[in-house]
Amino acid sequence: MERAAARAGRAVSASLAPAGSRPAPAAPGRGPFAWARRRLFASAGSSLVTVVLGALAAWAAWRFVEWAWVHAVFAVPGTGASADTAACRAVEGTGACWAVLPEKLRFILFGRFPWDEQWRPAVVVAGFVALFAATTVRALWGTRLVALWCAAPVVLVGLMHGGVAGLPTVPTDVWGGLPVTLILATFGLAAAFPLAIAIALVRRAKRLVLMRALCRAYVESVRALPIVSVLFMASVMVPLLLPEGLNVDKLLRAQLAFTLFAAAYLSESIRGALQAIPAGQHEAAEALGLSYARRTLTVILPQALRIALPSLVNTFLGIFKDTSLVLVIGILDLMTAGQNAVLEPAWQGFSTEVYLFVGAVYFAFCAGIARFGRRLEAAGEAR
Amino acid sequence: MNAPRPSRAGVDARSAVAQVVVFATLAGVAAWLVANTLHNLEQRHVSTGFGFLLQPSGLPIADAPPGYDPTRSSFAEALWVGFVNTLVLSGATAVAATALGTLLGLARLSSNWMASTLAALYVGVVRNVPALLVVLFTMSQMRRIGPPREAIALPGGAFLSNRGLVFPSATEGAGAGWLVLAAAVAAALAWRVLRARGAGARGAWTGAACAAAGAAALAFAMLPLRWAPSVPVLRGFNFVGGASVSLEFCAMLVALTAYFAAYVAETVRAGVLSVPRGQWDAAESLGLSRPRVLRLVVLPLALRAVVPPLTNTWLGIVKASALGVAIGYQELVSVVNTALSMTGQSIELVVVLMLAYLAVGLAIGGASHRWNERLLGRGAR
Repeated sequence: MERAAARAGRAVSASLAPAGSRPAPAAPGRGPFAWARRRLFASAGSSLVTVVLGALAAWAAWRFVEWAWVHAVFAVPGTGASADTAACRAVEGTGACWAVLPEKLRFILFGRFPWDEQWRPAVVVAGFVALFAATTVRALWGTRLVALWCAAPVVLVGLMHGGVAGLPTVPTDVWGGLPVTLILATFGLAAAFPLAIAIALVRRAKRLVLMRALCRAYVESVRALPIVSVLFMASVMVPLLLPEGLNVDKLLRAQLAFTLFAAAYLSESIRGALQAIPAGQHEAAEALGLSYARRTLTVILPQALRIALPSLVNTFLGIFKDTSLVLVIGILDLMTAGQNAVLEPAWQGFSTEVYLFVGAVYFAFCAGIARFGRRLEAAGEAR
Repeated sequence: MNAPRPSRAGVDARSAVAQVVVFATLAGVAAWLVANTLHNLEQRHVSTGFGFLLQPSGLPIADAPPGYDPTRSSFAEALWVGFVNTLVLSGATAVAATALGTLLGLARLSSNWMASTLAALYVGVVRNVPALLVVLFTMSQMRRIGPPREAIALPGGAFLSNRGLVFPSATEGAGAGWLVLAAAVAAALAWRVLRARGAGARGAWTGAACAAAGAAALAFAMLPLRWAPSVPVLRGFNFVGGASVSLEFCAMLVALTAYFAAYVAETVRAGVLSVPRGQWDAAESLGLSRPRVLRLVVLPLALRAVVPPLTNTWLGIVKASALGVAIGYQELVSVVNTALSMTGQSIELVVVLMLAYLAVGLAIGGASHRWNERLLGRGAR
């Protein structure tokens, strides 16, 4: 009893002693061993997790290397229908057949676009990448960038379609691959954005009772439906809704469906951000005598869009990935082209290699969008 | 000086006029579209109305209950089977993805470098590829599984082959799903009532188990079910006995679970990070071990930040189950699509589709709202 009290007393006096006389807390050691002890082997449980996960990861990595490199076939004799894929068949299941990629690369990327004209979709893809790159450069922001975005659809779609400047016309039903994915996603989002802002503003407007209800019904019903069914509707209903003889191009119908779909989702992000703007901002702008349009454009929206940024980037990513769903209505985008590339008997069964490649392309674009979003966010916070 | 501002009444009148103009335009466009549609339907000799729903469908469905017969069952029944398939797939996916996602989210926050790095890698890759790619990839891998003779034996007497998954079953006849549903609902109700009356956790669980057993027995007596335990056995080229689900269902379940687990992981991670550092410190200073700190203090607090986005993810799962159409799993969208090409009744089918998804959306939204209210209410006390 007394001993315990004495121990407690010592403990209290030790903790109350001036800082200088206490032993310094053990500084986290430096060097790889100290790091490993802290982050890998901190306790028995942690060590077990490290060993089990490490072994699993190493095994999976080795199996992948074995499949993708050691047993893989990188080239086969012959091309096209005369390609001799016997070497690939021999290692099927144990090794990759990367020969399918150079053979089918142009089909996956450009679909059934006329072979001799495929420089056009290639230039279009480069154009899109340049457009995205220009958008990330802060110095270009302003009217010039808006002009660039307005000109881009005309130039890029014109280059795909041809019929001008001596280029032969290529109808949209043979467009395919990556350009179709980029067109659907980019122009769908670009067209949806102003629409989404309008919907969000209407839903915040107190006086527009009827229009508010209409916009709410629209947004809620679109958000309730899977995009696959919206695409089906666009492909089945649009011909029914239009007068006889007036036919809307299949790609344009999908583009329309994506635009309307994206507008509903984007408007929700923007509406949430509008709600987060303090009432004082509205009142201050009103007190300055600014008109509704100027209040909205110069005070409210710039703040709202900055708040909405993370959620907007997520929606952009979601829509970009969802363009792959045009597979179900038979538009030959990157995903569908990848799936169809291995239908030919000689190359049947090498879907894993193609899906990995297609996945890498999607990953590159999505990771790029996400990175740009994070940079914008960081820039916004730094201000 | 600024121009005189219009009076409030003037603004009201202006917005009223603007709304009327917009509405008149929209109504005009709608009337034009309806007129076109009626004309087009007449040209195609399609009669409008929901009468076709009662006609025999002739629509074969792979994952259908034993009572479904395409030659006799109506379109309404086919749509119902599709809807149930949507619910079964989404329900199973939601449970699996939530469990796996929680594990992944906690692993990402772990101080163990191996666990956090692998989890971050997984989430980073999966979130940047389309769900459809994951589905198609999974399906292409599953098609490589051998025929029933080379089936993969799973624990519990189940077998996975290129014809699907067969597993032991206890009953024969239609309605096993209703039995499970009745038991689950009874258990949930009993648990809530008992807890509300102040029963302890153990008592509530016992009561819930009794209620589930009772409800299951009652449902068993009422449903056209027979007790017939059966284990799948390989005979000839296929399995005999047991129950089965199609390969497409397995592929959808695996793919959607893998995909949405990454989203759940992000939600859980954000939720745990939203718990103030002081809560950790306070719990640790009480002498709780780290797992108990997590289970007793941090996760219950994190749940508040997790519930709204988590239920959103569940809604996303229901919608993503429509991807079944790409690999031939016959859920609602896929059945609607087939029925559409058979009958041409596009408007009616679209209405059915919208109502079904709206019902699910409203149910999940309502449940999410009430759960959220309860969590917030508990915190306020």
